[in-house]
Amino acid sequence: METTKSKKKILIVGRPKSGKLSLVKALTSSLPPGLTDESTPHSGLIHSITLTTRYFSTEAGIWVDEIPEDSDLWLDEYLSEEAMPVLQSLAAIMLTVAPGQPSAEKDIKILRKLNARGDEVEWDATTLVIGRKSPNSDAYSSLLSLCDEHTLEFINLNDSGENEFGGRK
Amino acid sequence: MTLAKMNSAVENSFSTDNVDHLEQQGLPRLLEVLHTCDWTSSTNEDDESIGSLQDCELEFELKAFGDDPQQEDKEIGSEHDVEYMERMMAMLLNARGSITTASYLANFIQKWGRIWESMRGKSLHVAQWKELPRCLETRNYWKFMLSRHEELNHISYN
Repeated sequence: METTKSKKKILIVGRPKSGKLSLVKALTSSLPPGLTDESTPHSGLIHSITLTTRYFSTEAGIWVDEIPEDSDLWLDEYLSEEAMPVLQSLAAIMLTVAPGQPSAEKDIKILRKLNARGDEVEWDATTLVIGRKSPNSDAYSSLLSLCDEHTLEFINLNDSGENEFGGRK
Repeated sequence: MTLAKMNSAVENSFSTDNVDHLEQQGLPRLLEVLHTCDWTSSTNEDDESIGSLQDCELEFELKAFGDDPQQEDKEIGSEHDVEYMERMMAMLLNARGSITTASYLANFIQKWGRIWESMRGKSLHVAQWKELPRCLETRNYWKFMLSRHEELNHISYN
């Protein structure tokens, strides 16, 4: 089956040390090119993933972006009119959150705002929160409750299971 | 079941030790969601542009560059390239009151430069970001951006 290149992208966002690159590696089995050492900024890293079913095979781009301390300014960039084509080109936004990170609630609200902005620009993408189960069960359950409260799906990357497309990639 | 037992059962079902019912199934679930996303729709790249540079200061700075006779020999770049760069510059202009550090600006240009390039599916020749640190040192980053914009109008691609 021929693999086509999709114009749609996946945007992976999160704070430093929240698991963005782990997620990219879990999805693609490799790290983004251009990542030379630990000091390389994660903002603007680009990668791709090939998704194949019995009906189609497509290569989708992955954008990685880091939410900085001044997250308001960062969010304003995405909510601006100029960035509208970027939002419209997204098939999914994944927010990586480490349980216990003080910014978790703010980050989830950021994701909701991106989602709300997407609705305004006739955007039909999926938003997910991705994390790993933490030994601190209070922090973890609090994160789950936050996602629940904001009607966002949380996926625990440590969990295992199989899906209808053939399980683990 | 007594009322006390019922209360206990309900409390236990929401305790921190029993949160698995809220979780999904890891990477397989994530891939399942991704496979069901809409990968076929096109983007709205052909929608109308946000417009051209209209800032008085920009106009002033653009004039400062003058004409480059060598550029006249080059081919005209695509309108989309110009449009993307204009979008990035408009975002920068909106944010410039908040930009207080060179590192923020460098990150901004790298990130959005790559995003626009990625949307076009090819690399911008004008995106010679290695020049940026030098420009930042001399506080000439607006000129740097404007020069990139000027090049876009007169450049060809491999």
